[in-house]
Amino acid sequence: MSSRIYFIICIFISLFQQITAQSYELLSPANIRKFADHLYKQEDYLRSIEEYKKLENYLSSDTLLVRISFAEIKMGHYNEADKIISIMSKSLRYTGITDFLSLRNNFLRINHTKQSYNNEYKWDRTSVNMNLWSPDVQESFNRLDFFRELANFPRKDLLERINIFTPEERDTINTLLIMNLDPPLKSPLIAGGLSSIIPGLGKVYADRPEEGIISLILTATCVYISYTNFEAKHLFRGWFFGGLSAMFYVSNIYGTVKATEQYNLGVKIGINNIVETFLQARDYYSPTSLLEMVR
Amino acid sequence: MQLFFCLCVIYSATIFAKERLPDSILTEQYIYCKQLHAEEKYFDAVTEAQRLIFFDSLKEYSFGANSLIADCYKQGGKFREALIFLGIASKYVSNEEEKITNKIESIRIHILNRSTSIALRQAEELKLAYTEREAESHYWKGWIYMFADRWGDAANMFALIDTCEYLKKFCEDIDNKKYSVTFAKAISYFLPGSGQVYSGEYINGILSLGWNIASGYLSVEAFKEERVFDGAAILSLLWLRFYSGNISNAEKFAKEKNSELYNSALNYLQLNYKGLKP
Repeated sequence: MSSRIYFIICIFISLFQQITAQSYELLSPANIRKFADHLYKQEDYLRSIEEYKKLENYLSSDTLLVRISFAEIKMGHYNEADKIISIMSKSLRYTGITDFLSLRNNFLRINHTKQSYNNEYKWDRTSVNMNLWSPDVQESFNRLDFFRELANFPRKDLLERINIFTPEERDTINTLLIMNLDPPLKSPLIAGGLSSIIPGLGKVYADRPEEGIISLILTATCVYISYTNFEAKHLFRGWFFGGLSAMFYVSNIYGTVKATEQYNLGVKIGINNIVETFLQARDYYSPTSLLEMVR
Repeated sequence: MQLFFCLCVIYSATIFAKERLPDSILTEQYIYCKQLHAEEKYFDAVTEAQRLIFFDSLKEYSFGANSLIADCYKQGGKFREALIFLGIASKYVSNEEEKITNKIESIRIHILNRSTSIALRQAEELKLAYTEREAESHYWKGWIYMFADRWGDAANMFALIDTCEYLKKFCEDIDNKKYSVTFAKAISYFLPGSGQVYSGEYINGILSLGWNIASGYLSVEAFKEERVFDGAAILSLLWLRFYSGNISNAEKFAKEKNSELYNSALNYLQLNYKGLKP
């Protein structure tokens, strides 16, 4: 008798499960969340954000808001990320995660868009109350803030803050600091001056020796031809080649200045890329609690 | 023992019920994807197709959904992504017809992407694998040659198909209208500027001729007056530069005119030709 009862109960429950499965919705909150997480892991950030925003509770879920802000930052939408960060819960704010996210967003915006450091993005450390934060979050914040300062105002007193990094990293960070303080730039004024004395010399200074040699040959040859034509009393040809040499001379100086500016830009971009690579390898020093929310 | 057995049955039923969505839901989703695609809402169509693929645990719709995503990317001009999804779809073909469709779609995307050698190879593979599809292979080879600016070869391909007389004549017409780059360069060697004039760039041709005459005159005069260095400098720095510039300009203008001709031809076909296009 008891066997039959058990059997009947099993059949009934199994049938009930099948029936409820048939009313299973593709767009149920659980399914939307699963799909959104899948898109996020596939790095299809635009679609994952759209899916997360379909969930009714996304505004009250810190994990979702953190993921959305990360996705916006990955796509370079820094303003949208700021808006998402600003609506995160107070509980997240007390832990310092929100401040860290803001700092990270700020740093990436400055580094990637090269927007000038104006009052809109000014970071006021005195408004940040770190006492309630865990040591992990405090450490992460201080480390990333160091790089934010390095990107905006590289200065010698940052050396005093190197102790917040691990001993293994200090040498590398010291090198990065020195690179930012004293990048190997070249002066456009010196380059232009050198080219005005000897055509092409400024280009050699700007690390373009082949162009410098060509400039020198062209200008010198035109000058010589102009001189010999004047000597041979061919006034028109003399003035023609004289004009040509003047044109080469002026364009050589202009070209030298531009070449130097391009060289300097290349150096700055190179330094930025080194810093970026260093930070990416360390997840921008994101605290463990934050990384768990986005993985 | 009996209780344990019952619990196992209930648990299995629960898992099975929850993990597998009913077919009707997936079918509706597939229809919805196709509807979005037909309405040209490609972004949404890709999203919904991705959703279908994610929840289709038995992979019944994998071929269709991935093919649809590939077509959406193709319509958006993202050929690399289109080829990736087409490649994924090819792993889920269930019959020969789907295999052929997948192959032809791949050829079409390679045509649009101008990957001529890959497209030709795939068209040849289609012909070898399916002899009954020889005409189709020739047809797509014709389009491959058109996109590769080989209109003569395209005309020859269409000549092999009875029903493509219009395309054959169209290609022949374009092939006759094009400028010969070799001829433009050749006549520029003998008479600087003539290649530009042949391509319809009259002012450029006259200027080029003028510069060459002027620099040639200056060089010769310098040599006559025994100012050998001057003559050599003018010859190498001016005359030779104008002369070689004239030849490269002749080539460049002929190619530019041909590009304009080919692009307008392809544009015309895009808008007016009613048959199958890449």
